[in-house]
Amino acid sequence: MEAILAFLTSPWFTAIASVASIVSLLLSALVLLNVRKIRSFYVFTARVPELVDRLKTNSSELSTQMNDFQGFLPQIRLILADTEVALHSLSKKLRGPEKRVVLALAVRVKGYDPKHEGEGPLRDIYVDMHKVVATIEDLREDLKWER
Amino acid sequence: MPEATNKWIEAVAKMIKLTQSGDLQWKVEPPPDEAKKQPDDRIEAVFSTDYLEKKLRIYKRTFKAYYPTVDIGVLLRGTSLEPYWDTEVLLEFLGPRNVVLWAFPKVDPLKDLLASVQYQVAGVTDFLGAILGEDPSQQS
Repeated sequence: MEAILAFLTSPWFTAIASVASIVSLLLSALVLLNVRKIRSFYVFTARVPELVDRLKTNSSELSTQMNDFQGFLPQIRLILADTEVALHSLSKKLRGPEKRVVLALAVRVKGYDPKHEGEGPLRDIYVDMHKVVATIEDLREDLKWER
Repeated sequence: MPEATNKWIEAVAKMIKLTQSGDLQWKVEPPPDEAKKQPDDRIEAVFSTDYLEKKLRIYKRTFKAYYPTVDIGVLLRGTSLEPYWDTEVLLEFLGPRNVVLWAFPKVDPLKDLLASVQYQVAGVTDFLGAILGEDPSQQS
């Protein structure tokens, strides 16, 4: 019994135990990172296509309503409100430059006042919505090859 | 960001703007046979215009596509393909005798351009103006 106690309290065993603790801490951090990565991948795969479809539908409706901008002002406001929500939701599922692009567009959509600013900025928003859709679809294609 | 795709998106968006402002006037034409790439293809109408000395044509093509199915029968028989109907919008540059010189890359706003062209050709703006401008109380 004394021999076992001496072995467990020996300096070299304590050193090995300390190193093992640090290694297990690093491994836990690595597992946590991977779990978060897998979780965000599945959230992206499950939710992003739906949000991208929503952006596509909204941009098509905006395009139709730009045929008669003044006549469709109330509908344009409603679509822009829904677009802003979709963009914020989308931004939470993204990282890096894609997230920044989506957030910047959300800010522009929120700040746009169709009645005072007119049709021009809405056309820019329409183009940027399609650019966001193209960017996300590109990202989805890349992710297919990562897994 | 896919820069090349962005360029096509901007170009199509500009064409939508020109169409909606009336600077680009389209006319409807019967679908030419050569536009059909497969015998099953369906093309309802073709719209054409001249812009910057180029003849452009836009239309929606409905075509039969196939996806592979996986079931126990497939394992015994080999590959099996299930047909379904798909659509695409094509914007083409035409040469002499309507030969297709080049087709625009497939970007989402093409569908919106086609919708704007149909809106213009159908005269929806005039129709809405006329029908909403009518005051039923003034009718005898």
